[in-house]
Amino acid sequence: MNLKEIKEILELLKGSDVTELEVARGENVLKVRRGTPAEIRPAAAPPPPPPPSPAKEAAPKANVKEIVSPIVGTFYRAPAPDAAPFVEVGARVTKGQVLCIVEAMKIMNQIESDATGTLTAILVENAQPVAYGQPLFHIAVG
Amino acid sequence: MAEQLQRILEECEGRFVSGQVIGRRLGMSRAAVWKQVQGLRRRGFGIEGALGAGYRLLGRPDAIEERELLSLLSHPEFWKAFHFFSVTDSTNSRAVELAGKGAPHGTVVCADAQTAGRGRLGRRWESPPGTNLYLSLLLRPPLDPMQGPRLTLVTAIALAMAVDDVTALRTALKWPNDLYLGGRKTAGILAETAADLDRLRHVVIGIGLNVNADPFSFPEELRDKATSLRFAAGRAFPRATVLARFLDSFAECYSTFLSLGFGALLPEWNRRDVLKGKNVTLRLGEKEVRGNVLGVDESGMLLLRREGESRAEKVASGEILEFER
Repeated sequence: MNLKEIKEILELLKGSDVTELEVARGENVLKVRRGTPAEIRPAAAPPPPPPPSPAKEAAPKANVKEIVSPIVGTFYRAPAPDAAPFVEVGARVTKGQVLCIVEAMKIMNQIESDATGTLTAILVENAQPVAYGQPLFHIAVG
Repeated sequence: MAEQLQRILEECEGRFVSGQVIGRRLGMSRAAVWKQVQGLRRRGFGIEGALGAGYRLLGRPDAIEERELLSLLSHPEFWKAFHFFSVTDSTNSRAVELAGKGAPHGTVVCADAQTAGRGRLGRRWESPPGTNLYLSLLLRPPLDPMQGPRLTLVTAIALAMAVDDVTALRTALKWPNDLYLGGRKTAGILAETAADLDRLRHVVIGIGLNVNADPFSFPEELRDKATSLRFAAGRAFPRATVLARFLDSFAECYSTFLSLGFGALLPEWNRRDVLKGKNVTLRLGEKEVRGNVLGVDESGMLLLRREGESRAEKVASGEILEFER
C-alpha cells in the first residue's frame, strides 16, 4: 500500500458516512477511524451531530453516482479487442448492467452499474492500469 | 438400459456373453439388445458381435461419466453439481449462465468439445472432442474482490500438482495462469467474476488442459508452442482420472487458501516458477516494459524490477510477452 493508495482511500471516505474502516493488503493494514469513540453510543442516546462536511472539490455532484474499481488491474471498455464497448458517454444505463472489465491475474472482473441513469463520464482510457477505489464512471442518477 | 448393458459386458471382462443371456437379464428381446449395443458403439465402445457367441467388450471410449468420476474422487463432498455437455460453445458461458440461475458453490461444467472455447480477451482456445479437458468451476467464495484474482494462481497450482501426480512429470508455471511441460504450454486458465465493491458474487474459473491431443493436430502457429500430457509423457491418460485428480487437488488447495491464505501455497508455486530470476518483457496496459522477475508475493502479484530501477514493484495485471528460457 503506497501513499497514493492511502490518499485515494481517504478521498473515498469523504462524503460517505463510514466512521471506521480497515483495509488489509497482504501484511499492510490501514485503519481509519473518524470522530471520537464517544460518538458511538447506545441507541437511546441522542443522535450525534453530523460530522462537518468535508471539502468537495473532487467529489461528484449529489445526483451523480461514481463507479469505482473494486480491484487493482487493467481497465477494458469492451469484452474483446474487436468488440464494441460495453457503454458510451450519454448512454442510458441500468442497475446491474456491465460497464467494463477490470482484469487482474487473468480474472476478468465485470464491473456492474449500481445505479440507473445516464452515463456522463468515462474517467479512464481503455487498457490503462487502475488502482483500488479509482473512479471509473460517473452516472447521473434518475 | 445402456448403462446396465455396459455393466453386464464389463462384468464379463472381455469374454463373450450371449444376446439371449443379456436379454433375459434386461428383460428385452435379442433384437432390442442389438439396438442397445449399436447405441453403445455410437458412443465409442468397441463391442465385438459374433454369431452363436454373443457380444464382448473390447474397448471403452475415453468418456467422462459422472458415476465413474464420483467413484474416483477423494473429496466428492466439495462438488455439489456436475453438468456434462458433449458439445457446447464455451463451458465458461454455461457456468456464468448457471451462476445467474443460482447454481451452488462447487458446480462443475465439463464439455467433451467446445465450439467457441475462449482464451483471454476473446482469443480462441482449440477444443477438439474426445481428447482434452474443458471445464469451468463455479465458486461463491467468501472473499472480497481484491482477493479474487489469487484464485487464478490457486487453480494453476492445483492443476500443476494434479498433472505432476498423474504423469510423474514436473510442470512449470508462468505467472499468472499458464502451465508448461517441456517448455510448451499445456493448459490455460481464464476466470470471470462479477463483483460488488465489497464482495465477490461468483467466480467462474475456466480450464483448458491438453490431455491426449496430438500436437500435429494443432493449428500450425501453435505446433511448436503447445503440447499435451500424452505428448510430453509418451502415453495416453484417461481423462476421468486426470479430471478427478484435479478436482481433488483443487478442493485441497482452495481449502488451504481460504484458511491459511495464498502464502501457504506459495512454496508450490515457487518450485515451479519459470519466471523467477528471469529477464522478461511485460505488457502493462498498452506499454511494454522490460525487467527482472524476483518472484510472486503472498498476494499473488508478480514482483518485477524494471530495467534501471533498484526497487521492485508489484504487478497485478500484465502479460508476459517474452522470457528467457
